[in-house]
Amino acid sequence: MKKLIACFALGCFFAGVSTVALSTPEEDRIAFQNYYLTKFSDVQYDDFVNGVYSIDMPSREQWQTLEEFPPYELALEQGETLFNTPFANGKTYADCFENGGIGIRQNYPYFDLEQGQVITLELAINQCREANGEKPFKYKRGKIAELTAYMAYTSRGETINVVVPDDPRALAAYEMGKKFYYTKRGQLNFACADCHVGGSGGYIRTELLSPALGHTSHFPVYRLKWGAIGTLHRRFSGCNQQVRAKAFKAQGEEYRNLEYFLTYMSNGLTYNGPGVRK
Amino acid sequence: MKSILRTIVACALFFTAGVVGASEPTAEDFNKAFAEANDARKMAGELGHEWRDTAKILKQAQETAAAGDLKKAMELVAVAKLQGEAGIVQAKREGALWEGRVIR
Repeated sequence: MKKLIACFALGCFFAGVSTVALSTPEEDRIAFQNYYLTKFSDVQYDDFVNGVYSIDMPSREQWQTLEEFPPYELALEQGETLFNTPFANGKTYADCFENGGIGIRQNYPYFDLEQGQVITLELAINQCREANGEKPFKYKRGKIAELTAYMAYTSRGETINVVVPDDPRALAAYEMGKKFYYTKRGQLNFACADCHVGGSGGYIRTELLSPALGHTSHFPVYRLKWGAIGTLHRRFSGCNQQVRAKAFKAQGEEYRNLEYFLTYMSNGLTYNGPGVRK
Repeated sequence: MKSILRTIVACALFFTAGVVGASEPTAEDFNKAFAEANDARKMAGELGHEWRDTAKILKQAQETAAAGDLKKAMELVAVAKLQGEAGIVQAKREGALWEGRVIR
């Protein structure tokens, strides 16, 4: 009898585990988006791409004023110049990307089956540079952010469309990103989700916490705090440090997988980068 | 009576000095404690749970030891070791808990 009970208990345990483990990316996305649509029922679906300004009307007005003469404009122009400047071998970025690199931002990151890893736009740019005999850019600020600002701009209005192909390595990368997002870290013992899921709409000191839905749609961003344009991985790094965790390397596997998961969660929204934030 | 008192005071001073002398850390103590704390930090890092300030505290401990204040340096190392060990505990605990937070 004891053995029977033990078998039953074990069966229940594994049934439970498999139910948890078997949620597909698409099931995750639907649940994720429904959570925010319910929590912020006054916010229109498409408005989540505006981050905290979708839920904070006084800040939204200030932000809209900023957008009239956006502080990222100079970076955008420099990005366009960079994009069109040929490498020493005469080739350009356009030679490395589909559609000549125009209007493709919304498809990144993607899982590359040949390389067996998540490829972000920033990584693809540096792979392109190295393939053409150029030195790679640094990943957090400067030229990489200017270049991606221009490429993002050409994708404005396009629907975010991150794909998790039917490949166990791709699913594993997605799951690693998901795990990262929900795992508490650092001395303050915070997960990304603590602030931007449960805590979204609440305050930390004077700062209103933004919903995670739409979080990646507007990068790179010009942050007033930075006084410059910076990449998503720079922001990830800052968030980790704020909870007193050691930040991971920009474009390392951890942040690329995190970007993969987080951007997939925003599939269906429109891309609106580059943006400006506090 | 005075001589007895003097003897007691002298003995007390002698033993106090002995005890204080024994609790003063040596460079060897520091190096051992530093290595243990650094191992804990590295292990936490391998698990993806190194805390932001641990390496900084260890560096500060090294500088303090080099300046000759081994007692303070040992205190710093103890803090760093605690952080490293807490990071390891956090990693193990989170391995079991994170899935419960996923939006479903």
